[in-house]
Order: sequence, then C-alpha cells, then structure tokens
Amino acid sequence: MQRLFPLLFTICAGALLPAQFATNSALALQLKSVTLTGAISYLVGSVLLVALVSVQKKSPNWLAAGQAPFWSWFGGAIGSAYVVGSVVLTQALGAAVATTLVIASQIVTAILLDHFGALGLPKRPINSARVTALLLVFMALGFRLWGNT
Amino acid sequence: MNLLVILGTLGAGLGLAAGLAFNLRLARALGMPLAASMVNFLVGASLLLLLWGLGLGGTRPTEWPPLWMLAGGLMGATYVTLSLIGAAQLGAAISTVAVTLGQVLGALLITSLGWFGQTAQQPSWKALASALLLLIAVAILAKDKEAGC
Repeated sequence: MQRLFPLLFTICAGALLPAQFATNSALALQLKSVTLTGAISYLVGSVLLVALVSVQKKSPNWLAAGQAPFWSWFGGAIGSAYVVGSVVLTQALGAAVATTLVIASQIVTAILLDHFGALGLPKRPINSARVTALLLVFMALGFRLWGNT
Repeated sequence: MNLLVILGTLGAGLGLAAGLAFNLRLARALGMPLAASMVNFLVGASLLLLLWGLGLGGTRPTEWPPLWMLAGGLMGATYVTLSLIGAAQLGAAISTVAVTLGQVLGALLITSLGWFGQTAQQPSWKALASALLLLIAVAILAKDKEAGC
C-alpha cells in the first residue's frame, strides 16, 4: 500500500510525455521549425534541471565523469532525434498514434541494444519472452496503422 | 509523408532507447542521475540550436508563440525527474510499466479531449487494443529483465 503513491505519480509522469508531444508540435507549427522547437524545449527543460540539481545536497562528481567514455556525454545529441522525431510524428499523425509508434520503436530498439549488449549495456540475448513482446508490439502497430485511416 | 513518418519513428525510438543507455553510463560516473539528465538537456539544446543556426529544419519564426507552447520542455524535465524518483522507489521494472501506462492513458485522454492544440477525436476500440498490447509487451520485457539480473 505504501507503494501506491509512487506508483500513481509515476503513471502521471508518463502522461506528461504525450502532453509534451502535443505542446511541442503546436510550438513547431507556430515557429515553422522543428529544430528551433527542439532547442527551445531542451533549453526550458535545462533551466528547470539546473535549478533542481543545484538545490540538491549532493553534488555531481564531475571529475569521475571526465574519466567516463567520451561518447557517454552525448546522450543529448541522440536524444534530440527523439524530440525532433516526436514532433514530426505528432504533426503528421496526432499525439495518440505518435505515442504508439514511439513506444513500439523504443521497445524494438531496446531489445536490439540488449541483444548485442551495445553502449555498455549488459548483453541479454533474444529469448521466447522477448519474441512474444516483439509480436505484441507488431500486433499493436497493426491495430493502429490499419483501420485508423 | 510516409518516409517522414518512418524516419520520425526510427529517430524517436532510437533517440529514446539509445539516449537512455548513454545517460545511464554518464549517471554512473556522475553518481547522480539528475545531473546526467541536465547534461543531456544542455547538449541537446546546443546541438539543435546549432542545427537551426545552420538553417536546418525550418525558417526564422515570424511571431512570438503563446506562452503555454513553451511548457513542453518543463513537461520533459518534470517527466525525467519524476521517473527517476519513481524508478528509485519502485524498481526499474514496475516503474517502466507505470510510465508506459501513463503514456498510453495520457495519449488517449489528450486526444479525446483535444487538449494542447490536438484535434479532438474519440478513441476507437483499435486504439484501446493497441495500447493494451503495448502495455503487456512492456510488462513482459520488464519481467524478463528482472529475471535476468
């Protein structure tokens, strides 16, 4: 029962993502630019995160992070494909279908990254559970893409 | 249009799943996941601003957007923060399923009520079925990951 509260707010946190898709795509329509929209979205978010990090008692270990692989610093560069992609999809298909596509694509990518143990992730080969998950994802896509014209 | 949708889907899924792996690696070094997200957002903002400056992905805006359209980044940053807290409290498996549940519920709600500039549209049974299938797929994957630890 004491897990109910964190469970509920984690569900609410998830609901922020399609809200972000819709808001960013409205902004992109207004600004007529997906890159500027993504930049503004990240900048506004950065302000909040810088504030949140600076009020923490703990401070990040920048020295240790300097020793981390060079590529690990560029998650934001990869992540910007997510922001731009979600705006493009929402403009083309609406927030609901865009959310379906992004979740599906994310599951497939995660299974592939795990399979090859890429990017420093532990290697987890494809097994029957993962094949089932993939089949369900393709069925979900089928429901979404055929019939909702 | 269709090519754009395919590229958007691949970009968003890859950006999210691979971006997360990059972020995990940096968070391990920094000892603070929230600081890794902050770096993520700052790097994403810089890259997209640079791309926009180079004239990629749209033109110069002609007018100021309404203020609410700038909130997308706040939603993104709040999502990141809450989901980190959720993962710490609930474990990665349950929090992943909870976030996905929030995502599909949020998407259904936003589209049926026409919030954030979306065209209002009643969810079809196919939309509900695909949401359910994705949720089961994520749950299977989360359970499999936990068993593998």
